[in-house]
Formats: sequence, structure tokens, C-alpha cells
Amino acid sequence: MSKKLMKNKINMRKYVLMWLGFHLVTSASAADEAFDAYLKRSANPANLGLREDGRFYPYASPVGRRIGYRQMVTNKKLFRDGWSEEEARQAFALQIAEVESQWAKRLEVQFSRKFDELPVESREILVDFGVSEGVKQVSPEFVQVAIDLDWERILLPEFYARHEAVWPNTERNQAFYQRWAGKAVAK
Amino acid sequence: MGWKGGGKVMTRCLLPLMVVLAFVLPRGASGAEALANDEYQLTPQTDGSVLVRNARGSEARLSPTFAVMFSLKDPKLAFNWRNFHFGPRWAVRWGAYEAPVAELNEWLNQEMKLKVTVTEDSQGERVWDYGDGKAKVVGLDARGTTNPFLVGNRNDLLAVRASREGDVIKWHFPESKDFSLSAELSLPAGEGAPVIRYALTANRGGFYSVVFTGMPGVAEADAVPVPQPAIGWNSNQSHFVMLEVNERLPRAHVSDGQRNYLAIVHPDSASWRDAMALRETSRFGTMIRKEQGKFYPAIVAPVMGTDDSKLKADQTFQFQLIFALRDGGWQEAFRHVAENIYGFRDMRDNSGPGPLHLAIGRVMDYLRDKNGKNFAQWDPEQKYYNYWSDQSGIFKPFSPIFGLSAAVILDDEDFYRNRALPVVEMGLSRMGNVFAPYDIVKTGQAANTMQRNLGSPYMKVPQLVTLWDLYRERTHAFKYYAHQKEAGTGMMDFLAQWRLTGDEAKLQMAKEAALKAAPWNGGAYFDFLEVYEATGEEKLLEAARERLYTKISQNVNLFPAVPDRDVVFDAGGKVPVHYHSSGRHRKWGFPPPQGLPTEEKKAPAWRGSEIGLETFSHHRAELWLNLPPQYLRVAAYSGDKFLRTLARSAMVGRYGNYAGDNRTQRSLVTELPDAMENPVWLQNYSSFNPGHAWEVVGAMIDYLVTDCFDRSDQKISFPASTMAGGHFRVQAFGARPGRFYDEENVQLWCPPELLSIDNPQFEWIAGWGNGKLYVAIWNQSFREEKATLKFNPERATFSKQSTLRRWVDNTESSDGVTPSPEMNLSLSPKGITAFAIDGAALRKTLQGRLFGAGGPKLGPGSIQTLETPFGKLHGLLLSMGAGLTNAFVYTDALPEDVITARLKWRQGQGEWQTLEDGTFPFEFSMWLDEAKGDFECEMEVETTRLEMKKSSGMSLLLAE
Repeated sequence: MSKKLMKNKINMRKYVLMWLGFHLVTSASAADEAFDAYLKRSANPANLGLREDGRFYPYASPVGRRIGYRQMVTNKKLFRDGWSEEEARQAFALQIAEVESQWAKRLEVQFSRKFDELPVESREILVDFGVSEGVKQVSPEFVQVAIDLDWERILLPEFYARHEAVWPNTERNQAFYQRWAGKAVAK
Repeated sequence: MGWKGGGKVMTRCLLPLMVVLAFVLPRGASGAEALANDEYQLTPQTDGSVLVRNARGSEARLSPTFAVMFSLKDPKLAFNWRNFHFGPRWAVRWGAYEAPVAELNEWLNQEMKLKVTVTEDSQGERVWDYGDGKAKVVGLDARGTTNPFLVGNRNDLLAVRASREGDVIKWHFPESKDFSLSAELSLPAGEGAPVIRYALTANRGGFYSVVFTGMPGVAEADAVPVPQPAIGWNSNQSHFVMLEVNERLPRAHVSDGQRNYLAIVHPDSASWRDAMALRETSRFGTMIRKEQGKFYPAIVAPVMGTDDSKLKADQTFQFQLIFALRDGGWQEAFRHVAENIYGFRDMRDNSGPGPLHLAIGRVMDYLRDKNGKNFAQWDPEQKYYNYWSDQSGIFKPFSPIFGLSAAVILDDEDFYRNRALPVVEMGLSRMGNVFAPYDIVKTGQAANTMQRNLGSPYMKVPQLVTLWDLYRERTHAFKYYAHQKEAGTGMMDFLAQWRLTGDEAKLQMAKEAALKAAPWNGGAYFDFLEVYEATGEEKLLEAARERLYTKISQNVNLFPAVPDRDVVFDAGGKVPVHYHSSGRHRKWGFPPPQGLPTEEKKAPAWRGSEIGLETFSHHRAELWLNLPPQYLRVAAYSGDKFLRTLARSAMVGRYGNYAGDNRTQRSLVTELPDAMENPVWLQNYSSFNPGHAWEVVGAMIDYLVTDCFDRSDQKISFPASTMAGGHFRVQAFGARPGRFYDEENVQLWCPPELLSIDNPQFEWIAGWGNGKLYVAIWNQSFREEKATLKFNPERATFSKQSTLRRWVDNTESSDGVTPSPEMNLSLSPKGITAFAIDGAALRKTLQGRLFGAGGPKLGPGSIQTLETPFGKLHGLLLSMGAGLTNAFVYTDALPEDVITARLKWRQGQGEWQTLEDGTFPFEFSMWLDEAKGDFECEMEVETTRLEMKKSSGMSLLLAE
């Protein structure tokens, strides 16, 4: 496949994913919904920033202001107007779609793997870390272990523990470990 | 419950026995059958009791009565926990037995004199209602009982016969279908209190508990409170059981102020086990039994529900306790038990972790993040360390003084710039010391105290005055805030006002307030100690000493006796996991904790012993170090050897670094130089709040300076500054010069790199003044020790003209030793040697600036607050001397209202510079050049309504 074709395909896929993101709730499977709920729970389990008017506003986090599901505040108007829950949900779905798109690209280039063909656990772990850390920031070693589903390594805190500012991010670590701890036992 | 609950059983069991006794009463054991040693005489009486007479002629009677409890079912051993108005959290609560509600209420109201009403609904759910605005206890904590005499069937045994058999008096008890009990009384040869040995043999399997109920008691009206775990933290509770795991010196102690009656677990029944006791493995419990308005000391062994209490048929449980009858105050009796019965003595030297001065350097490196891994979780934005273990995302310093004083004494300019100054700024701007700047998921810890208000210091006046002193009265802001704060009327408030103003009347008021408070219970020992140091009033020293003993008697481990042998620590090459860690790891999202890999070591038992450490709740090894320096200081002033030994037990040869807050198992992890340089999931060996290293370094320095003070017979003395008002309190040094034998005006100066000594038994401190370098070196070993001392030429050099005065064990020596970069030392056991070297060239860093010329003396114009459209704008200048002057500017605006703050500032007519801060608190700190003129600034903020708001200009003057 030529680079141009591949690029077009990736762009196409990106748009499709974004469209899917907008319609995640209506079209997603139960498993997708559970994963979506997991991502939201690990990002903002206490609904920080959700005010009495039912809208999300930026809140103070150790890494700066965040909004909704711990997303960057990209527009100052959000300080004044906030997001409705639906807007927050859509923005988060967009972010996930973007992350999946970036993973697809990186995996193909760096690991010669197709994101869609990975086991669902691998995809979920990569998306999870892509959302919180940024796809580019995830180390190749971590990616390979996630692809291989080497649970003994995945479930070492040295490996999966995420940090925020200068200390471990308890909400994400707790959600991650609870979600996957059974895998090592099953293995 | 208690007497009431037991009454029916008494009627059922004891009366038939009494009938029997009418025929078989112990036949008049005559005076000829008395047992005696150098300290006690035991005389059997015709009723089977034994008259105990001590060497001073005081008498008490031991009755031949035991209560044996038997339960076929598991009694459900638990802790009292939320019903702590009645008894401590860690008192035993058994879930399987309880008194009927009416009987329970009568007992609580009549016997225990508690204002509580227990109700029970149709489902059997109980509520303990302590009254309006007080606790309502429900659930498991409201069920069951804390009364050991309700747990199972109670059998009250009265000896049917007493006989003298050789060197013992035997009590003979009637057989029971469930068990048989034998007991005897004896005296050790020479000195020693009466020993009661008993053995219970089960006739059928089940749970058993035994209490010797024949101890003498004291009427409630005559009793004086004797601090101990068995009467709760407020010294006013009784009739519950504290297990071995929660006991500090296993005794139950009642006193009328003249005589002391103590039931003491025999050391052989409370011996050292390599695994420390847990709830289920506790071998005994202590109790102040209350019946019919009298308090009786009691030992419960075994305790229902523990491993030892579960007996199979024909299985025997044996136990020994001691009865001590002591005259005088309770403190003497308490000390007697510790020293004469439990063999408490000085055992420690530096052979394990090495000297404390090296540990101090390591803690400083941890705090400064020397290895770049930031395991201490320093947050430069929030100017403190994350409060990781309890509530991540908040910041909880006890005081900036710990690190600031350390920076001054250790002459560490880098630490001042990057750690101490930010923490000082934090302390000046946050209105509470539990600061929560972020929106966080709350754990429930510190929930009631966290806040984020800005605008004035959280510190109280005494600490502000100490800061004023430590900054050598250069920084007006401290004085300003001290005046701003409401002047209190406590002894420490008056003392602080005296320090600030020099007004002798305030010192007199502090003394009067202290003298007025001294005869009463309560008040901090530390307050009395510090007023004593300022006034020399001996009554206040005694008040401090008494209060220290109260803390020690309640909280400090003095058992098990440490065996003179090696034991294995950290078996299998892993540090034991702390009790708390499993639950916390689950909450933090980590797998079940695995012990920190380490080397399994066989070492003398004392190295890992908990003797001298506090027990906080059920953590047997509290690693907070604030008390030991004060034990030692009071020991130095009063000559109290017990306190000196206790101080050494707590500190000497124990720490190689900061080891966390507390532990539940023995380990040598406290000795490791680098245990804390690990990620949090490996810091599972203790309850670990990284930021507490800040306080620990202050405590370590306090110990070192005080150790030298004590070792030199108070002749090397550096005045301390107070840290009153904080929860964790030590004495801070560095603010004022001290005395080195007969030479005055010596400034404490201990840069770690000043010198090295190749013997780990040696500690040192140093100072400068009068054109001299002063060094004191002392030996922690029980033997004579030798070493080579090397001065670092980067810090100290000597000329050919340099001369030396030398003191050996506090006597000036003229042995012709001359100063040189390398000196051989030989110190007597626990000895001290000291030098004053004339003509030394010293290189000082922070102290060079602090004590040098050229720094500004900041006046009232150096602090200002402006009203602005977005809130208040606060600005102030701080100076530690030339080259260490900075401006600190912040607004109290909250993140809900402000997106970003920008500060424009300049000095004199210099160029305007702009800084921006988008993270709450919106604050700025800038180094100034003292030569470039006054500081000027204005702040502009962008609000969350997307408006720009601007302050007027603020000027802060560098000149006085």
C-alpha cells in the first residue's frame, strides 16, 4: 500500500471513528459501554467540576485545570459556560476516537500491527493509556507488553502505575487494577 | 455486666462454695508459715488470704479468688472501636455475649456513672446514645460487651484450702466439670515482689479466660488517676481489657496517692517473641476492674477469643503474675516495674545504622530530592510535599521551622532557597496548615481540617516569633503578623510576647500562668519545660517532668524485656509489611503489598526492639521522634536517669534515615540508609507520609544538640526557640548564639561536610564565634573508642598560628594536642571531647549571608495588602541576608473566579518583568538584588467570566 493511500485510509478511519464517537451511546455494544464507563470513572470518579446547574466546569487538578472527564481546557469560554453532560460526553468520545486513530497509525508504523485486530484487552489498555498519557508518551515497551497481554508484567505497579503531578494517580490506578487484576489469576 | 451481671453467677457458684468452706476453711495458717525475702513478707491468714507486707511496713491482702470464664462458642474477639466514649478504641469488645439492655443501662449509669442510654429495637439493634450533640453508637460497636466477666459462663472460685509447701503457698480450689485450676504464691530470693502462678487445665474443649480477682483495691473516692492504657487516654475509664498488643508495660495499677497496688504480668509470661503480638496472639490483657465503687488491678490471661484461650480437653494454660505493693507516688512505682521487674536499661549504641548526624544528611537529601526521583513528592507549585498516605493532593506541614532551622544549622543555602523558603511562604499565606488547593477525590482523612483560604499565616504567635528570631529580626513580616494575631493569655503566648518585645513583665506573666496551671492535670509538658528554661523556676521543671511521665506511662513501650541474644530480622530477605498497607494498597490500586527486599540479618535483639518507642493506637512502633529529645532535656535538667535511658532507647542507633510513621512488626528497615528512596508501593513497611521527613529532620537535630547538652553537663548549650502551636513539636535551634563551656556567643554551625569521623559510634556538633571553630564529639558506645577526625579544607582550614583549647569529659585538658586537618581521637565510654580552635578560616554559605554585613533590615514598608477588584493582593519581602532577599506576592482569589494571574514587577527604575500563574494559589516569588531599589508590582487577572481585572500598584520597601 502506498504511503498516500495509507494516509488517506487512516484519515478516513479517523473521521469514521470521530463519527462513531459522537454516536457512541446509541451504537456501542455493552462491552464498549462498560469500557466507556470505566474510562470515565477512572478519569473523574467524583464528577469534579459538575455544578448544581448540571454542567461541567473546569476544576483544579495537580496538572492544571481540567474539565469533564479530566480533559484539557482548550477554550477559555468553558470557564464561563461549561459543558452540558452531553457535550462532555461527546467531547470525551471524540477524544477516544482520536486516540484510537493515533494508535492505529502508531501500531502500523512502529509495530506492524493493526489496532483493530488486537485482542479487545490490548485495545482497551492502549486506549486507556492513550487518553491519560497521550499516545506518543506511552513507551514502546509498554505497548509491546499490552499487545502481548503479558499480564504478569502488566499488573506490576512499576509498569501500570500512572502518576499525576509528582504522585501516583490513585483513581486511575485503582480503576485499572480492579479491572484487570483477575487476569493474572485466570492465567 | 460487672457486679450486676456477675451477681447471679455469684449466687449460683459462690454461695455453695461458701457453704463448703464453712467446713473446710483453710486452717489457720500461722505466722510461722510466713514467707519472706529482703523486700516482702507473706503471711497466710486463716481465711486463705495472704497478708503482704513490704519493707516499709505497708500491708495489703491478697484474697484467694479467681474468676474463670468458659465458653463453648467462639466469643468473637474484636475491638471496641467506635464506642470510645466508654472505653478506648482498642479495648476488647466481644461480639458473642452481651448483657440485657436493662441490666446494661443500670450498670453504665450506676456503677460506671456514664450518661448514656442504650436502647434496643425489635430487631435486636442497639443504640448507645451519649446525649444531645454527642455520639450515637450503632451497629457492631453497640453490640456485644467489653466486660470480660460476661463472656461465657462465669465461675468464681474461692480457695478451699491454703497450704505451705516448701517455698510456696498453695491455694487449692474445688474441681469444676469444665476445668481445674491450681495456684500458688511465692517470693523470689533476695528482692522481688510476690509471684502468683496459676495453671488451668481444660476438662473439655472450649474457650477459657482466667482473672485473679483477689488483688486489693482502692475506693473510687480515694483513687488518684494513674495513666496507663487500662484507664483510657483521659485516665478516667475502667472495666475493660487492653490486650498485650496495646499494652506498653503490662501492669494494672491503682493508687490512692500513698500506696500503689499493681498487678503485673510476670516477664516470663510476657517474654520476647520474634513476632510481635497481634490481637489474636496476645497472651494477656490488663484491666482496672470496677466493682461496687472500688478499683482493682487485674490481669486477664488468657483473654477470651485469643489463640491461647482456645483449649482442648486436658490442655493446660499456665501463667504468672506479680503483685507489687509500693509506697509513694505512682511515677516511682511505674519506674520500679520498668526497671526492676522488666529490666529496662540502656542497651543501645550506634553499631547498627551508624551515627545520627549521617542520618540527618540523608533525610535532607531525600527532602531536597538529591537523586532526582522525587520520592518525597515535593510539589514546587504548592511549596510542600504531597500528603500521600492519608490524602493525596493536599499539603500538611506542621511548621516551616523544622526545615528552616535545619537549613540554618546545617548551613545549607541550597535547601533554604529551594525548600525552606517556599515552605515559609506557604506558612505565611495559608490560613490553615491542611491546605487543599485542588479539587480531589476525598479519602475521608483530614476531611474536617482541610481548607484553602489564603491571606494570613496558619502559624500562631510563638512560631511567628521564632521565625522572626531565625531571620535575625531582618524580616518585618513575621513581627507584623505576630502583632496582627490575637494575643492569647496562655503561658506560651506571654512567653512569645516577651521574646518579641523584651518586656520582662510578659515573662513574669508567663511564669505566673505556668505556676497557676502546674498543680492541675493537663497542659503540655513542653510548655512548662520552655517556661522553665526561660525563668529557671524549678516547679515548672517538675510540672514538665510529671507530664512527661504521664505520656510515657500511657504510650511508651517498655516491654517485652530484650533478650541478650541475636535474633533474625527481616526473615527471608523481606521487610515485614505494615498492618495498614494491605488495605491502603487496595485503595491505591496496587496489588497486595510485597515486603521491601532487604538483607535478612541476625543482630542483637535490642537493635529492632520497640522499647522506648511510643505506641500509637495499635501500632507498636511509632516512629515519630518528637519526644526523645525532650526526655533527654528534662533528664539533663533534673538528673532523671530513667528519662535519659528512655531517650537513648528511642533514638540511639535506631535510624539511618526517615522510616515513616509507624510499624507493627520488628525490622531493621529503620537502619537502612535508603529505604525511603523507593516508589510508594514498596514503602509498605510503615505508614508512610513522605512529607513527615520534614518534621523528622528537626527532631533528629533537636536530639543531637540536646544529647551534647546533656553529655557536656549542660556546658555546651545552645538556646532553643519554641514551636508551640503545632501538633508535632520539637525545639528549634539556630536563632540565637549559645555557650561552649566558658565561651559565650557561639553560633551552632554543623554543615555535614565540615568533617568526617571514621568511627560510627561518634556524633558531633560544631559552632563558630569569637574567631574560633568549636567542635564537640561524643561516643555512643559502652566502650572506649578511637577514630580519626578529618576536617574538610573546603569548609575549615587552620594556620600555623592556630591554637586549641580542649576539654575531655568536661574537664579542660592541657595535653598539648595541636589543631590539624587530621586528628586522632580516643573517647572514653559514652565520653565527650571538645575543641575550641583559634585562628581557623571557615567557609560559611547560608550563615555567611545571615550573619554577614550588607543584608537589608526590612521595616513596616516591606509588607502590604491591597484591596483589588479580584480580591486581596498581599505582598511582603523576606531576607536572610545579602543575596537572599526576595519578594512574595499572592492574591486570595480562588480558582473558581480566576483563570490566570499575571504579575508585572520591577526593582527601582529597572525594567518591568512579567510572570504568569494559572494554578491556584496565584502566587509569585522573586529574588531581589538589594542594590537595585525597592520592589514594585501590579497584578492583573483574567476571571472565569472572561474579564480582565487589575490591581493598583504595590510598593515594598527594601529599606527600614
